[in-house]
Amino acid sequence: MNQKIKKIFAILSILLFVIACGKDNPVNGCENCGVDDSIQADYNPQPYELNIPDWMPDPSIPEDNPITKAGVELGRHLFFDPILSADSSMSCASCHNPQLSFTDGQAVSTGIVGLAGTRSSMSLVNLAFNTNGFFWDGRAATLEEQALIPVEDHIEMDESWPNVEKKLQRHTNYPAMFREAFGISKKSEITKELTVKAIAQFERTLISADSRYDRVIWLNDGWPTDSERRGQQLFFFEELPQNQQHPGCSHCHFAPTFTDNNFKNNGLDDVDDLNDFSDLGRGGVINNIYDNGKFRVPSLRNISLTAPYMHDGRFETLEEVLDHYSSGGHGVINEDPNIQPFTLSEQDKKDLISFLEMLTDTSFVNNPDFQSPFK
Amino acid sequence: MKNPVYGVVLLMAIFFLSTCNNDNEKPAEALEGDVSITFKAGFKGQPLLMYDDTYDYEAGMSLRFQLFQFYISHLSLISEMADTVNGGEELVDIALVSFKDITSQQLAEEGIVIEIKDVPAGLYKGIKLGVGVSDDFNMTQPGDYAAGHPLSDNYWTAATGYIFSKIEGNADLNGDGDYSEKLTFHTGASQLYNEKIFIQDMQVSQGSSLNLEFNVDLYRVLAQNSSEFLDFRQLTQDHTNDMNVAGFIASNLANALSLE
Repeated sequence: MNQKIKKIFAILSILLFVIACGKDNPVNGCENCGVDDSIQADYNPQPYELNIPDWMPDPSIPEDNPITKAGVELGRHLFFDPILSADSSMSCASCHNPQLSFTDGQAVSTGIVGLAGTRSSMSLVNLAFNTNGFFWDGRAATLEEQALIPVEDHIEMDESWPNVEKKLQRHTNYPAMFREAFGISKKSEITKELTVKAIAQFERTLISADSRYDRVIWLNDGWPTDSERRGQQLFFFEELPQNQQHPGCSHCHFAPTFTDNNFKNNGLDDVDDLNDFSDLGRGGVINNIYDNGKFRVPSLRNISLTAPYMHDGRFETLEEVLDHYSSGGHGVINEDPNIQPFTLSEQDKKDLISFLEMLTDTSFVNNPDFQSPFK
Repeated sequence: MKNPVYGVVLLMAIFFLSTCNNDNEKPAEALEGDVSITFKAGFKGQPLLMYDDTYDYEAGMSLRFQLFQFYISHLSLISEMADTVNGGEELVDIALVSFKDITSQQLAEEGIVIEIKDVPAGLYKGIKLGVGVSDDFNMTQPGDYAAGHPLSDNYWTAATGYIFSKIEGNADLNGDGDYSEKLTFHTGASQLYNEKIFIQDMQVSQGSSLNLEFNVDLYRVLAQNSSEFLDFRQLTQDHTNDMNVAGFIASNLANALSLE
């Protein structure tokens, strides 16, 4: 018995030692450090070159937040660091997992202390090409504004920005990283504005344009299978004969981004009055009744990795999504007229899904630059 | 320098030449004014409002709309001195005129406004514009533009071209108040591009704004008269799959555009 206890004690001691020596503990800090201390680090910002193939649009980069290598690296650390949440349990990556194209696999996201959110986590893909607001309802005009919101959302991170600033100012590593990124001199100059600038810089690097679709269509590298080709023809309907029914996917999800970044009522809910939507979506932001029940058209890049689907995650599979669209909606006054009923055979469905799977970009989800720096 | 006289002469020469150069390089003061171009949409003379408002159509049908938009290309003032309509001042290379957010009388009265600054002052004898996406732009694709540019959107990938115009809405086919028939008509192809020329004197004056107002009647886009119209009892959508339908809309759209 004593031997057993000794063994367990020895194992626990080793474990404790290993944990204690783990690198990059994200919550380490220095309670007694002065925030007016000068920061010892070099400031020599180097531009970060986005890897964007020529078939994709030019990115939209704000003049007051150019992308630098140090800014992106700082942003990556902040994105994966639970230091932004009240109890150090939630980071941006908690709801935006790179392996799931930066979604979380849940119908609606789970926030701090297990609280359920109301909407599904959006895929963070090709954000640099979006100039039409962020979130499902577009309530943040820029990525920088977007990054401000989850920190103080009581369901998400439930932290205060002054407290986050304090934690970052007292942190062992972050002051130097902020200086390298933004040239600040003192720890007290670490602000929420610089914090979200860094996160936005990192997020703008999340470019997905290396899917099988990109290689086959844009680089002429290989051929689509028969099923993929049939799915492609159904998806990009414009060359079909006039009387052939089609799902009309590319009305909103056209290449190369596979979104128009607009807000649409895609026929999910049947309401008698536009005020009856349980989630007003875009209308709740801009107070225009005709925008009630409208949500952002998400990009379909990596769509096979981002289930469940829709703003509330109501559909678990792509088959369910296609069944919804083929039903043609409910005829609500602001329902997009392109939501029209159509007949979709089982083979059509398989073909469309084969095509959608062409949009999976494994080099994006596995890109080492997009993974946690704390592993 | 051994002889100081040469030095003085040389300095004077440099001074003289530099003075002359300065005079030559001094730019003539450019006389410039502003131009404000407004697009307003209507339906049989009523302001066109999206969503709630309904509009009587042909054969007892009634319509309401959610989207009406079209591109214009190479909008130019025609110089008074020009021998042809090609001589002039381009004000807009490409723009998307979209009435999708026009949901009130006030917004309809305001219209869609494009402001152009610093247009050379002078007398012009007219204005011309292309309705649709001109060939030089239609050969490009969204990847050629920055996010947010008018041509970063509305592209048919398979047809490799832009969607020149979109009309979307709902139809009540028999007057029973049920607007359940969904309408989507999208046009786009090189042969559907039409150029419009409006000849009338217009003056751009320094320090003031020339206001130009274009009106487009959507009824005239859908119908030429009470016997030639898009019959939504027969057809509720076309995406330039049928060139007869797309051509009917495109030529009507150009004809429906008027300059006040």
